[in-house]
Amino acid sequence: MLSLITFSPLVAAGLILLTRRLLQWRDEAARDQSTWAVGLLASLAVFGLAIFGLSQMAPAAPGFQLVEKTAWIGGVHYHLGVDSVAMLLILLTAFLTPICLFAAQSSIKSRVTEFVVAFLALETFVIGAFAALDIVLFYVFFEGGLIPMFVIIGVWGGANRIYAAYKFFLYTLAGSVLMLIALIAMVLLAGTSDIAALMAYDFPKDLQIWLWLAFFASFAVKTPMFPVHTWLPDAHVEAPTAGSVILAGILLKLGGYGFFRFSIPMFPDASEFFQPLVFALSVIAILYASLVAFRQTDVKKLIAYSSVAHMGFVTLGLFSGNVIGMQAAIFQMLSHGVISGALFLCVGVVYDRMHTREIAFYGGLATRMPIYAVALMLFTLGNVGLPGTSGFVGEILGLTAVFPVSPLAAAAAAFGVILSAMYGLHLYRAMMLGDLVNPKLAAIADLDAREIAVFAPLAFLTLLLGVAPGLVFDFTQQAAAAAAGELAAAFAR
Amino acid sequence: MEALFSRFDLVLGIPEIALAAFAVAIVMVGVFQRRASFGQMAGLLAFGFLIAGAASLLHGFAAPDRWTAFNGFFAHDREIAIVKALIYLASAATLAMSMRFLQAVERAQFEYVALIGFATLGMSVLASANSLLTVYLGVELLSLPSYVLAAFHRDSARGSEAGLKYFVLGAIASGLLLYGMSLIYGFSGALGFAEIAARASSGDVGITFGLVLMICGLAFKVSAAPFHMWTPDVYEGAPTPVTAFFAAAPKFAGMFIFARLMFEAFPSMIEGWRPIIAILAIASMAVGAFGALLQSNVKRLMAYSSIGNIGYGLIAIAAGPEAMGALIAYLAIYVTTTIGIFGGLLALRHQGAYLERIEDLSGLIGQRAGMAYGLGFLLFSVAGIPPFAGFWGKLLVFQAGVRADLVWLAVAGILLSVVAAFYYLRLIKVMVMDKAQARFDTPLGIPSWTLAIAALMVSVGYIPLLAPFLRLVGG
Repeated sequence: MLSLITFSPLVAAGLILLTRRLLQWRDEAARDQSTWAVGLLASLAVFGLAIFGLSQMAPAAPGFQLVEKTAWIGGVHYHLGVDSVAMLLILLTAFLTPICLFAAQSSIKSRVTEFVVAFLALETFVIGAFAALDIVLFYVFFEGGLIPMFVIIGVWGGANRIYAAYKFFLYTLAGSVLMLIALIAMVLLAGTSDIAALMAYDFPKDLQIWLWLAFFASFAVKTPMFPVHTWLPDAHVEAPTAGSVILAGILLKLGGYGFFRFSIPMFPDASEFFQPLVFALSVIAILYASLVAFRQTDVKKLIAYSSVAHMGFVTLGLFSGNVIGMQAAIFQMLSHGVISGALFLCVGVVYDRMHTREIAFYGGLATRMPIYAVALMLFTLGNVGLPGTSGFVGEILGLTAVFPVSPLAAAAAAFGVILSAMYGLHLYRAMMLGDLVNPKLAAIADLDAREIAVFAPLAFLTLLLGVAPGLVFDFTQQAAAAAAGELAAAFAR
Repeated sequence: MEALFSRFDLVLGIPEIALAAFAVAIVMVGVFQRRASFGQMAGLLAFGFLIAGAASLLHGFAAPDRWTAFNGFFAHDREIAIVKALIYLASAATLAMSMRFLQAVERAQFEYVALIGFATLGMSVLASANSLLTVYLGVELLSLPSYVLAAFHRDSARGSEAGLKYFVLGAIASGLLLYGMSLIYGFSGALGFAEIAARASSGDVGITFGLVLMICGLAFKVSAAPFHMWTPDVYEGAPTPVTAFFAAAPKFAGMFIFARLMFEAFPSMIEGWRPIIAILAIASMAVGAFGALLQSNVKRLMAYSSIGNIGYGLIAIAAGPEAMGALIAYLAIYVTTTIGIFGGLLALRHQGAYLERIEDLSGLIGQRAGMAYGLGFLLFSVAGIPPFAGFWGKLLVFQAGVRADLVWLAVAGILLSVVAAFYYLRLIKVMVMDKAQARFDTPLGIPSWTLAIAALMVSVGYIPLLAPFLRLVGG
């Protein structure tokens, strides 16, 4: 089941390359059409499979489910399986990929085959990383995802795309190779690369510190946390819209997922030891990134910095050491995946029409684009954390969870919520409200049917998770409690 | 009085005897039958490789344990058999790729085939060497044809320079090697690996001195830093097929005998030679990573890439005898990747001119998407990015290093691999993201097929094959 979900996109990518060859007698446009169709259908099928996989799970049961295991190289196993958190993240991936492909159809005109192939390969790698139950296998998928993303940024990106692609690749690679060393040491020490067995293994505390730092290097870059977040704004600004959506929506979640799956349960003592560091860096990220976001002149950069700030809430919650914080962090990851993805798509809409991301260029768009104004309003407020949207739930629960542990961090983070309202509403006012001054905007068209189709499911999810967060909480209760329990036990020691 | 050798010894030596016979036959046919074409000659040698490889593998699988022959000068077991077969395969692949190039520069002569044959014979002898004299014989049998091959394009100034440089520096290295061997023989009174192991101890200054000199000589032959200076010039000056040949099979043979010599002749002195090898490893990785950053010539870049990769292989040697399987697997993957990349360089042309500069690859994906995918896979593999095979090779090597408590070496290697990733990425960037500067000709058949097979191997082929392969070579 999980193998099917994981590798279907890759098989579809192969199929696309094949049909491309076979259809050589048709003209370029027709072949592009078939490429989009195959890619979209395949990713929708994967989404269907993921929902089916979700329905097969018993969320209250402990441990991993839908397990597949075969011996592989050396002591490494091809071992897949999920708990409820991993399954939801897989679902998020499978949900955003078809949306991205659908939305990209209007803006990607060159090298369509490669684009769709890269996207599908990326989907395989990300899903594989969430589903891997062998730590080496996880690393393979985790690292492998760099390749398609490097290509997506470097080929279809903006003017400075090469620089951004390099920066993205090398930053992430440098972070993850340290994890590789730690991983080798762990496997040699514990004699297994099985994730469940490694979770149960008690690493000596002084070694935990080093291992934790090595894993932290990797996941902090990926999340990204202050001060290693600097690749993110560049990557976002230069990436094509669909690339930004996947980057913010899914790839960043690999960092949070890594903390949840590896750092906390495998090195609970070190996690306890480093909790002040994580809190400090998270709070700095929230405040600093919010302030920086406020001063941006580029829409995408603003949203990129807001991503950094929001991921700060995720790391706060993860390391709070209680179930509520853990639940809040997981929820915030899902919610941020939907909302930030939607915001990047919103930027893509006006960028496709006007080919600039300068905030100053826009103004008064609400008069010309009423539907767009509603959509952007919804997602901005979601990002700000308005009650009723999914953004609110994660933030408020995260703050309540952090408060008993560190009132100072909670107070500072709460201040960050105000800041996020400040830059979010500032952006909305500057772009949408006021008079339509710029004459170039006079003829700008509102959302067409296909764009509405893109935003509808995202808006639905934002509101649904906002009013019925229990859907997620009930599902992830067991897994969150298990992870939080590890950390709480370390505190008790 | 014992006989010099028995019939059984000859059976063990069939691969080498066959190779020697075929190489001599090629010279004879070439001299007396001028009409025989290059392709026929190459076919003849390939047939020789086939016989030698089959004989080696048959013996290796029928009798997997260690057998010695010719009074202990010569050894054979399953591990050696597999290494030999891979060496023949690599030589055959680089020979097959070279034909069109040599025809284009009007150097498609039978001597080329004969030289490749003799050099491969040298590697084969090296792989089986069980005494210092056999090692020296193998090294020289490999080196002398290599000097000639480097200058094979004799009208080219750069080619002659490459040949001369290689010869002079190579002769010095051979001198170092021989001097080291004579010291060891003088102080231990033995030439065979096993006898040296029994008699040598680290307390003996003469032995230590000899060992260091031998390490220097071998480090030169496998182009490990700081004995790498000849590599970029020779790689750049030699004709591209010769560069491809240098970068593949001889590296395999050289590293293999390097490891066997250390593990089998000096096992008790491991604490003595381990730091030396570790320093060679870290220097090679650093030179490979930083040296390649500013190169604009693809062949020079590949030279630094091979220096760096030798550095990773040296980690396995420093890790000790348990790492033999990891070393062989690493080398097999590296050689596959290298041959594939050179396949790309020998398949692609602009109006008949072969590629030299990195920019010549610009915009490949727009015109020859298949070639670009293949090369891209190979480059990601050699950069060590999963899921490609190069990652598994590096993982095995690092694992061996950490297991031997060489964590610092593994950390340094891994960090330098990030630096190295940068220039492999640059090649990919040029192929995938830059605008095309000129039209590519239709890729040549044999090199593109080699590229395709290599790319297939590193992307999917090794995934199921690596585990059984490791079992066979004792990993």
